[in-house]
Amino acid sequence: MVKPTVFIVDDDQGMRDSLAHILTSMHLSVEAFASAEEFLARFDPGRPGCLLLDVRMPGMSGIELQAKLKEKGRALPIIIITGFGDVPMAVSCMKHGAIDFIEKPFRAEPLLASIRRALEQDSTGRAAEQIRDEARRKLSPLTPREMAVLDKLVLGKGVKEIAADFGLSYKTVQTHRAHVMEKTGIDSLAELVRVWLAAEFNRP
Amino acid sequence: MSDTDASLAPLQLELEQCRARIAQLEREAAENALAATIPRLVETRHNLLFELSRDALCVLDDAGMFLRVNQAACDMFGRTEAEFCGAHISSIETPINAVSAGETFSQYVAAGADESGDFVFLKPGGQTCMTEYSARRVAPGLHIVALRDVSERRRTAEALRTRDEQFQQLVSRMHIVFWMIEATTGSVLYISPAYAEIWGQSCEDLIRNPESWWALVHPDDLALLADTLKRVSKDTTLKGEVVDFRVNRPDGGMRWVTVWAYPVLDSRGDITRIAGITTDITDRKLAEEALQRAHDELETRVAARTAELTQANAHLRSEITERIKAQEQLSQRQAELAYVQRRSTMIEMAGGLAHELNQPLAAAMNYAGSCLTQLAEPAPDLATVRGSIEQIINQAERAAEIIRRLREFLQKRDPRVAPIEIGDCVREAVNLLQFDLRRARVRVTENLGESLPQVLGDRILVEQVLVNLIRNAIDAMDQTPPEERELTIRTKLGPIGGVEVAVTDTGRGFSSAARSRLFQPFFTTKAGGLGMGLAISRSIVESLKGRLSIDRGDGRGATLRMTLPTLTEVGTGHG
Repeated sequence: MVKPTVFIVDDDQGMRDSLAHILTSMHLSVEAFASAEEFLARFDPGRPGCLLLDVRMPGMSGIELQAKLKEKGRALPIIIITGFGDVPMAVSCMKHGAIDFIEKPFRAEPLLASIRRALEQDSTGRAAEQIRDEARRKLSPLTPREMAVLDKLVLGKGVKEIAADFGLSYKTVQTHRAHVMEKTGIDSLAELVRVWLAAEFNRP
Repeated sequence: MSDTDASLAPLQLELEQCRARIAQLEREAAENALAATIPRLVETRHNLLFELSRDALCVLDDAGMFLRVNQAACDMFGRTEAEFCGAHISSIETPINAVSAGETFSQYVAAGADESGDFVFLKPGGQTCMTEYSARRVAPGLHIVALRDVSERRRTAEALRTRDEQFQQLVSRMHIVFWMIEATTGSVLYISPAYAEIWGQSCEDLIRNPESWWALVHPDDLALLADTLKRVSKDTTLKGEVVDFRVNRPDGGMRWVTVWAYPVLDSRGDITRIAGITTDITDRKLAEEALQRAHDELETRVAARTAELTQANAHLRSEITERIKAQEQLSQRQAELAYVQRRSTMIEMAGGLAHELNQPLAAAMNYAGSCLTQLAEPAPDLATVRGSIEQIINQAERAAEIIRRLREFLQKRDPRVAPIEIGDCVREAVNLLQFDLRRARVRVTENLGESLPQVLGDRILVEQVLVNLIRNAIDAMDQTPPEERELTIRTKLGPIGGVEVAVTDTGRGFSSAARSRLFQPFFTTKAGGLGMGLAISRSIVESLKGRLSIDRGDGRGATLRMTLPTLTEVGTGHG
């Protein structure tokens, strides 16, 4: 498994360097960037880690960076670094998906704890993603009609009910169900429900 | 008639004839007697007179033969008596152009009357001798001619006439009056022709009325003139006195004359006359008067102008004093106002500055944490620890620097104008606003010109202006998309001297209406603004003899320019 990296984005060199220094001394892998744009340009969604983000920077703000990262498909867990009195901004960032904020100046321990939590979440997230991706891979051969039948099946509806809902013949629905089982290689309804849930199709 | 008569008649006739004969005989006898007596007469009765006469006397007969001459005649003609006797009058030589002596004499004899006249002859030496003669017949056929030598008298008269003529020629051409008056009466004895020219009264009139010239002397000058002439008439030792006076001419004109008068002594050494020279000095006097007038006028004017200037100067002095006082008060007020504005700015910036201060503190804590982590290691890397501690020091210094900047900016003090580096001011101002710039997410580009001359200014005031300009720019960009918020600060040599700092933003700019009121106090385009920033900035810049201007306001940003004078431009006169 790839070692996670703590990405630091702070335009203040003193802060950036000192953060990198302390995290390095804690045997963390660190990469520092002076701006959101710079980070974004070199961002690789596949790399595990977390993001230490100063909330106020010239140019792209922390919130904007969050949005951009989301567009790229995967949000790194973000820890917001804020000055005192900047809490409303930090809260706003949390609403947009940041997992924590930490107020300057701070001691090493709470920062480290926060980073650990973030890395863990990233790691968990990546594991969940793997499961979801696997489920989606399994369901991917299904035709839309088969998917529609599956959606009804996992809700506990019988073939007769489904045929009535769609105005299809009993036999046709039965054939669809057979194809679903066949294409996914799943032989129990319980297993089918688990895969369907893992694929998270019904989530936004 | 009676018989007697008839008989007497021949007797009477015979008687008559006898009587006539007697008268004739008597006449003849008388004539013969006279002829016989003349030489005797001359000799006896007049001989002495004849000889003693100083006139030349010559006795001649009708033919012009000399019968007798006296000694004076011998002297006159240069002959002896013997030489005269038997000589004819034509032997007297006369000048070629004159009538000969013989002719003159024969004409006289022919005329038969006594005669007198001039006669010129030549002496034996050829010398011309002029005479006045008178010829008289003293007896039938006997004439006496008397001659008087008038050569000397004639020559003297001629000389006098010539001299007089020369004098007349001399004075007639001169504009100077020569004169002579009676010492006692002042009446004129002689006056030269120029008198008429000056006095406007003819010389003839004056001669007819010799005291009339006094009437033409200006009344104001009479006493002076009379005094002078009196002095001249009393003092024989005087060489002369000079007096100027005015003449009122009969024609109404006025003349200035100067008189040099001196006493004339008679043979006894008494002063009987005064002579002098009078010159027309009207032109000179008028010129002098004009000059004097001009001079007086000038003096008056100079005096008036001097008084005016003195007053103006005093006024100016007090005005200057007042103005200096007012200026001092104004600059005091200005400094106070600038301070107040600085303080209010600082209050607005306080939050940001606290953040700014937080940065080095947070960084220092990070390094400190790093040290602790290192030291907790079984084998701490001391070099890393040392590096961290150095970083802590750096960050502490950075914090101190922020505080120093803050304290300086908040200092209440009198302006101190000194040579400063404009680039330093720009960096300080940007540093003061570091947080505000960050919070507003404005990118700053400092484009500082290299080797620019130092400018003259108060560092804090210049920073204050820059802070105001930058804050203004930040506020102007609040509607600009964050990625387009650019602040550029450029320093360079001003186009017309000085060093220019241009602060350019990418904000909304200013409408032309706003631009015209931009530097007015309490004018603001911002909701929460007090509107003092730019007004105070301009007054600060102007107090530093600089300029503050805006050159774009088209809605795509604005550039505010501050130009400050360089050391060489302001020179040493700057206070």
